[in-house]
Amino acid sequence: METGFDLLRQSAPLLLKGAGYTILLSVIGMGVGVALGFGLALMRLSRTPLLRWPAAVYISAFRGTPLLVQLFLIYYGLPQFGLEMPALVAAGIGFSLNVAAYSSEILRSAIDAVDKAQWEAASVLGMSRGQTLRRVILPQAARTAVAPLSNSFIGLVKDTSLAATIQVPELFRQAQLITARTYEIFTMYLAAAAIYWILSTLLATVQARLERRAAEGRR
Amino acid sequence: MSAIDAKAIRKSYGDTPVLAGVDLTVSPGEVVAVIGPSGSGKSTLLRCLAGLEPINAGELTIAGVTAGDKVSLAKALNGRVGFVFQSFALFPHRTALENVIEGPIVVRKEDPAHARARGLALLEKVGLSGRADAYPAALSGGQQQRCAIARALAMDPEVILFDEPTSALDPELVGEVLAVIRDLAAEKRTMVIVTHQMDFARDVADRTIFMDGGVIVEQGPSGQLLAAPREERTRRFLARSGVLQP
Repeated sequence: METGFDLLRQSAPLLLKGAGYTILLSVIGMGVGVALGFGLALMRLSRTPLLRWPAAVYISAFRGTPLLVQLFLIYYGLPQFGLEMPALVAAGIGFSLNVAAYSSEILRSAIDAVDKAQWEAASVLGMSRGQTLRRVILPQAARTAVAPLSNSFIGLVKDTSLAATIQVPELFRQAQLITARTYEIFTMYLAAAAIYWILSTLLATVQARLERRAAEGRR
Repeated sequence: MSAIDAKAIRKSYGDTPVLAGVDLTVSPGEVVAVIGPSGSGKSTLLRCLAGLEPINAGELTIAGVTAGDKVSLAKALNGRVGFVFQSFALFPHRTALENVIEGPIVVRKEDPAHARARGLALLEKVGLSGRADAYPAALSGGQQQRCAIARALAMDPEVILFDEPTSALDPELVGEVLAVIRDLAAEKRTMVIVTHQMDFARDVADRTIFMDGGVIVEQGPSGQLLAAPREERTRRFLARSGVLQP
């Protein structure tokens, strides 16, 4: 008779492969998302309404609609206009665009939180806006942003399970597929949950270390 | 040529006028103290002079640069006017020395080794030798303000503006900052100092200006203005400040 333990051992390769996709999607979503989010934050802080407005609308739209609906629009909706793409690509784009909206608000508020006198101190030294941002404001804002961005990352790892709905063979999807074959529903989903938990805990450890380092710099 | 030449400067925040036509001329090497009640516009005047606030009307030339509407005054000045903030406003992620050499290296493109040598000399001048590698958070308020003065000096400013430089300090730390400013006055540096330290104004400033309600009410040689003001408003302010007997 096949025990739960045997089943786990047999399905481990599939689950780990799924976890690989989970990590891949998380890293792409966070990397591309934060880069885009930084651009959006700068647009929001710009003096030109022509840059501020589109960024504000984008952020509002992507924060105001469900991630699941966004994924469906990209994967199932866009092919109607001839824009077909592999599920993994669609998921990567979806997560990146979503993370961009959230992280831009984190970065914008972190930049806003830097004392206004810092801008002025740089200004009287003759520094340009770009120099001030790069050398004075962003290093300070980065410290404020570490904790909320890490939280976003942990949230994203779990949200990537939504990609199962567009057939990306990530961790949750693998668990679903194995369950359909073996009917070991509780065991498989518990195993998937355990792997998500491990990934999140690892990230939380890294976050704690980053926060400690950010605090040390100020001495 | 004057170091500062301001004519009929006006500045409002929304509908609230803060500067209602200020004329000010400062000669090179002159030390001017600006006193007055809070809300009199003295800090705003200083901020306008540094280009931190654009003026709404009037003419302003400082350190040879005339405020125009094309480029911001602060950018055009390129560090030629130093500003010392009440709150120090040091860069917290940089050491004392890095704070001092930031402007020379980034704005003036000075050679880093040269800038460091100059920065260390400036820190020594303000009594901070040995603290070059300390971060601002590890410095006392008085040390931070002296570091901020060194940062301003590093740009070789033609004019230095001080906005209540000792108001945020514990009483026992005020003296060390005033001593540094006193030394600068002895070097004949052009300075405008907004202050509540009347004794200091009397000792150090060639001229003291009394502002109230967004205008200069009265000005004159410091000793004379503080001891025998002509205007009633000045007299009342000095009485309240404990300088004159009511």
